[in-house]
Amino acid sequence: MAAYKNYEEYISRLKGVRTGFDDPKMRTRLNAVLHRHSHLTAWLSAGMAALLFIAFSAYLNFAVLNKKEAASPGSYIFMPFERSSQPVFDYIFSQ
Amino acid sequence: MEQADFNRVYSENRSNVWNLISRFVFTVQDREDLFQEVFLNIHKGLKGFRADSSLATWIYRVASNTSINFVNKKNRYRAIIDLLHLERHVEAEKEQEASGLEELLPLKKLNPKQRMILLLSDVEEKKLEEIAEIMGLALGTVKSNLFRAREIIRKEVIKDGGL
Repeated sequence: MAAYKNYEEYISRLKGVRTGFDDPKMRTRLNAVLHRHSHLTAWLSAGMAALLFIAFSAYLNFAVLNKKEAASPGSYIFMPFERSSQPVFDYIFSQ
Repeated sequence: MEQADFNRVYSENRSNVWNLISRFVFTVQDREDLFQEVFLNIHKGLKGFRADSSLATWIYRVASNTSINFVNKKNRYRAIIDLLHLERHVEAEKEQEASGLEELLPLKKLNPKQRMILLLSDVEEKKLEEIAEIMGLALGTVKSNLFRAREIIRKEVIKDGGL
């Protein structure tokens, strides 16, 4: 390690350190990262929106409409799988 | 936030940020990674900047927090590497550090917080109140950390041949 007379000399040498900032390189690197970052954010937003849609649909089907269907059978379009599909399977297998 | 705003912020502050972080970490790779991370955080946070403090102070705050987190994360990673005895990796890193600048070596004796406070105070010549605002610390904490950091550096400098 280099010798310094005192703290003040060390700080003065530290201030004078040239660290070689390569602006074009850093700008290119940063632009690439920001570009990637904006794409990633867009994909994540789309993914979150899709998940929310699926979750809401499942909730609507199983928690709300099935309950109403149970209360008054045959009134709702979103019927439980086995109820709505059973007549179709019966028809197919009876052929 | 418009891209033009970010470009302006980048152009006006790149030198200050680089000067700070290039004395805070010790390898070329770390400098470049940290610089990139600082400006990525600035880009993320610029939209929510509420002008409670000046833009320059806010940028120093982002740079300081990002730098301290960067070093802490790296130290944790190094601890795991040491634990797993991955000597080849450690040797490669030592080699990279050895090509660093002589003047930065005493700073390695400081913990990240002390190092940042010392750099902001004695190299960037910020007032203690401003440092407290930048780092979100009490003024007393800044003073005591700065005192300890200067003592450690003095000991290092004198030990290595100073008068």
